[in-house]
Amino acid sequence: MSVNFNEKIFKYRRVLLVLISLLFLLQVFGVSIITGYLVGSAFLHTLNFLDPFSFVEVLLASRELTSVLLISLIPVILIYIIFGRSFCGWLCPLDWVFEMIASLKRVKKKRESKVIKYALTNGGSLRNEKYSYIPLGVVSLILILDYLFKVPIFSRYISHLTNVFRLAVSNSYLSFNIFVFSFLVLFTLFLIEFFFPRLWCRYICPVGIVYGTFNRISLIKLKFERVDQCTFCHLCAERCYMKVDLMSKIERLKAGEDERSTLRSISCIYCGECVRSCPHSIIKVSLK
Amino acid sequence: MKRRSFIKILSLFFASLLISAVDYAVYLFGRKGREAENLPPPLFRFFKDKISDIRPPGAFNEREFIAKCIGCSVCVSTCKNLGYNALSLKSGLSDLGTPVVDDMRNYPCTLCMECVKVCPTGALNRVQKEKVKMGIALIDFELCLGWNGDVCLSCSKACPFGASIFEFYNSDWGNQPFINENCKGCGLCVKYCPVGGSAIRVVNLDEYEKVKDKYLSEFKLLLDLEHAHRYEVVYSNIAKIMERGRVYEREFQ
Repeated sequence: MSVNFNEKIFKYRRVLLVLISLLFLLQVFGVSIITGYLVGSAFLHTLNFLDPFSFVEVLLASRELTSVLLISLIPVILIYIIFGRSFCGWLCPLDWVFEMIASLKRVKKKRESKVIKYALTNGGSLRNEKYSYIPLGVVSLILILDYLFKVPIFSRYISHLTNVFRLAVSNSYLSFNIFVFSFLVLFTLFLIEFFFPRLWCRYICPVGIVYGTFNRISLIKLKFERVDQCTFCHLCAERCYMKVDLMSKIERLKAGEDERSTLRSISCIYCGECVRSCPHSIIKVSLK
Repeated sequence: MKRRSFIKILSLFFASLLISAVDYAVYLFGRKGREAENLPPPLFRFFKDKISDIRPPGAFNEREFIAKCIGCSVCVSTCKNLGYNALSLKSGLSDLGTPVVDDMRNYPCTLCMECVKVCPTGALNRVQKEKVKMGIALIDFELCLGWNGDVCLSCSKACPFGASIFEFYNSDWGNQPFINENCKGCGLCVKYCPVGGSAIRVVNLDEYEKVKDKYLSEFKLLLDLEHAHRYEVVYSNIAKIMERGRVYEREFQ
């Protein structure tokens, strides 16, 4: 049995983000339903959650595998074996902020038509999924640093999740030094985002890359139906800000070179932009 | 979103930064005038430098703790929400965002052992409170009332482990309490010491190893001191205790 998500559901992903953030924010007012940050948290003081990348970092920094680590990892693994990398599109607060920063530029629509026209006249698809070895390099660099210094560097210092939640959740007991530190880290992130859109999400952020590996085995995936109706408008590939290689997949499907009608890309965050943009509703997000 | 609204949000960001900067400046400025801050802390003669931090219960080895803590502040938030306020985030760049018990004078650890249950990485080991080792409490013999001609049992009454930790050497010079190495370092005695600014200080185990010989030799010296010499020591110490009491009371008023 397979379930195709209605395209209306993708309109509500910001609602889910706000609801989850509110649950986290409640701890400021003394209601501890979920305590902690998105990196590591405790549900009702009993069930612990731990981000998979933090798990790897702690494993390498402390050089031992304890039962507590595994127990707090298991619920997260169970969630994302079903939903793949949808963490990035649905729960990461930075995704929304980056979208706002992108909408600042205003030139989006003009560029969109221009890029599509260019792609159509040259007969090729839009540049997608280039330099896929960079993220792996970044992840391994961070992990090597962790191993050498015996400190989970990314989770404690650089991570956007830690810094956002430090400012939002624990502001009542934050000393001035940490406030300035977190603020500066976030500000540099926003600057990077302004000049190089989605550079962070696509190439640097190791949290997303680790969730991306779940995409290979997750129940959720991109599915193509009635491919023969595709007119190659390139709208889906242009709207996709993670630059998933949609067009070449459709080309291969149409030419009959590829049998499987599903796409499991590491960089897909299941935000549903392609699903909503497609005029013939060829692309679907399906859950088996 | 329009450019204008983004600029609004950005200005809000900067405004909050500015407000917190002003807050901090006011805090620093206000602290200068406080007399009690200038008083040397107990056992100042042993620890001239700033001593290292006391970690939450369940952290045995500092290096192991640093390797495992991801700074998620679950423990701090839990401690706040239970009303103990003992934990806070460390601000130094080396261990930024890791939890410490920093203000034992006002908010000691009550060993409720809730923070170790919620730690997702196991940086805080899940142990019973009998096996906790956060540090060790040291009594400053120059400031303690029990060592200077009085009978004061405040620290031992506050201690959750009582007789297994406190030893008393009763003599003409007071009840003379001594904290042995079974101490868990929770800091409840620090809070309930009646001397101004407390006569007890909890130190890290690494710090304790450094001053252990010096501290124990002073302890033995005081016990074996002759009556006449002991009288002089106590006579000079009482003035110190009274002065501290006055300073703290003035500040309180």
